[in-house]
Amino acid sequence: MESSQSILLIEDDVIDILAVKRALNAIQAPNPLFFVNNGEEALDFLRNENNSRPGLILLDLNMPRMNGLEFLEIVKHDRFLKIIPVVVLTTSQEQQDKMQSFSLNVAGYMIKPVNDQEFMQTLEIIHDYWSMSEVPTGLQYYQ
Amino acid sequence: MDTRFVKVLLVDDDEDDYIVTRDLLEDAQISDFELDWVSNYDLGVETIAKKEHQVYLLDYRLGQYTGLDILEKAVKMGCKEPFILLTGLGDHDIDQTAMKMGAADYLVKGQIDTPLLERSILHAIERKQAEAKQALLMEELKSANQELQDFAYIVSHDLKAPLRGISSLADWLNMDYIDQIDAQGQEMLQLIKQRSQRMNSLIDGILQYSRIGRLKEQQTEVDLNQIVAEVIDVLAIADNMKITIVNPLPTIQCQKTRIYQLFQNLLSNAVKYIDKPQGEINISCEKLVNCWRFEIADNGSGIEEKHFDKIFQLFQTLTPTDNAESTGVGLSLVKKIVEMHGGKIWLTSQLGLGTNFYFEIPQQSHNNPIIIENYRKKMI
Repeated sequence: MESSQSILLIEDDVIDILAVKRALNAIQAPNPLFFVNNGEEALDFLRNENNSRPGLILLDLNMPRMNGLEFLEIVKHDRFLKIIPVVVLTTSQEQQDKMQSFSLNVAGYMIKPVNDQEFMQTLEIIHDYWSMSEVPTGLQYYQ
Repeated sequence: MDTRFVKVLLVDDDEDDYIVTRDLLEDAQISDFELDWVSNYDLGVETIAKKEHQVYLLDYRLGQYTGLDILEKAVKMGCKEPFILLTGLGDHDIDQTAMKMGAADYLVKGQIDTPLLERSILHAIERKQAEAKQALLMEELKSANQELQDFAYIVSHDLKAPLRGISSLADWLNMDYIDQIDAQGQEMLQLIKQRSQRMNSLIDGILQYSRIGRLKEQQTEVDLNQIVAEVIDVLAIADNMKITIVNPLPTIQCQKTRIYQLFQNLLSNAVKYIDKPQGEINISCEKLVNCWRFEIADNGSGIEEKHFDKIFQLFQTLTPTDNAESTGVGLSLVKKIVEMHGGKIWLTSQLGLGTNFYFEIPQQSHNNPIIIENYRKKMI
């Protein structure tokens, strides 16, 4: 992921949004951060041609209207959108949620730490990894 | 169901047998029987599917088929009515197979009289009804239990989100506005932080407790010496504590991670409440008639007898504390695990001298239910 590519945070909890913002600020991540409050809004964002495709999606599972798993179900069957790496960021430690997420090809599954310091470290690790990893750019899709 | 009037279906390829059976049932004293007769497998299955009868009498020999074939087919079709197999003298293996497949009874042809046949039929019907009633009760109980466990799980899960928020906000206030908050304010923020950590531990406790009921683990052969050694290793006990395994522990049938949790909680508790310069914890076991009894004895602070019940209740601790580690979940977890294995737990204690915890785990606590069921049926 290049530093100009954005990160899309899909999260309904105001405080968790704040936590991610603070963490990315603290580690001085250069990527612009966008956030939406549920899966529906995320799809609107991703399908809006005015928005460039994010380099990384951070996804909460438990959200109103369209939850994280429902969102994954659609995105991972969309030939344009499925190449975007999605890292789940949730409080759910349920085996079932992990199973479903990974069978929908998520790139990672992180439990939101309670502790602020650990939250920052988690975000740092995610960001470092995806800054290191190459991701496809441009508008081509894989069939 | 009314058993004064009973519709019976006989599946038998021999008309003479039908006539004999009909005559026997006509003489019945308690109930009025109406006997229908079909003579082969196909007609038998077809008629059973109509569910017009309360009991089925199956001849074992039915041309190329047997009565057991019908029984098997009927069970697959979801037939809930009882079957009685009519066999020849000395067909012991067939009798056994029939019972295993769910037949209510078997009667030896030529040795049947009216009272025997009537009693067999009525018993079979009554037993089926009792079984159905019990199954329904079990189902209700199971679903109520499931609901309760799910409730505990969902509630505690949902409680965590706002809690995390509170904790984060306290952190951020402390970080961003530290120079604008005086010492007293900072102390309050610290208290918010502590309380939310404690609440988080309590919620984790509920989750852990409810998970025990939600997820059943396969029973395996577990060497307790190994388990206890692992627990001691993980507990990283201080040099002034000595844990001794007095006599070799057995290998028992149990749920491994649960038994691990059991020893972990009992031993960490014992360690936690030792107030002497030299701590001593002794683990021993004794083989009783049909169970193993274990004892974990410590020389800690001891527990007053009036608190013996209380310590096993969820969230009950005897020390008022903001300590996140002492949530009062441990011993209730232990009790639940012991009871899940069909055992019991109790203690003796002397204040200032120490506490002895005892628990018993039955051996082969869960006999193969099929064997018991067959045995019971055979006795009737």
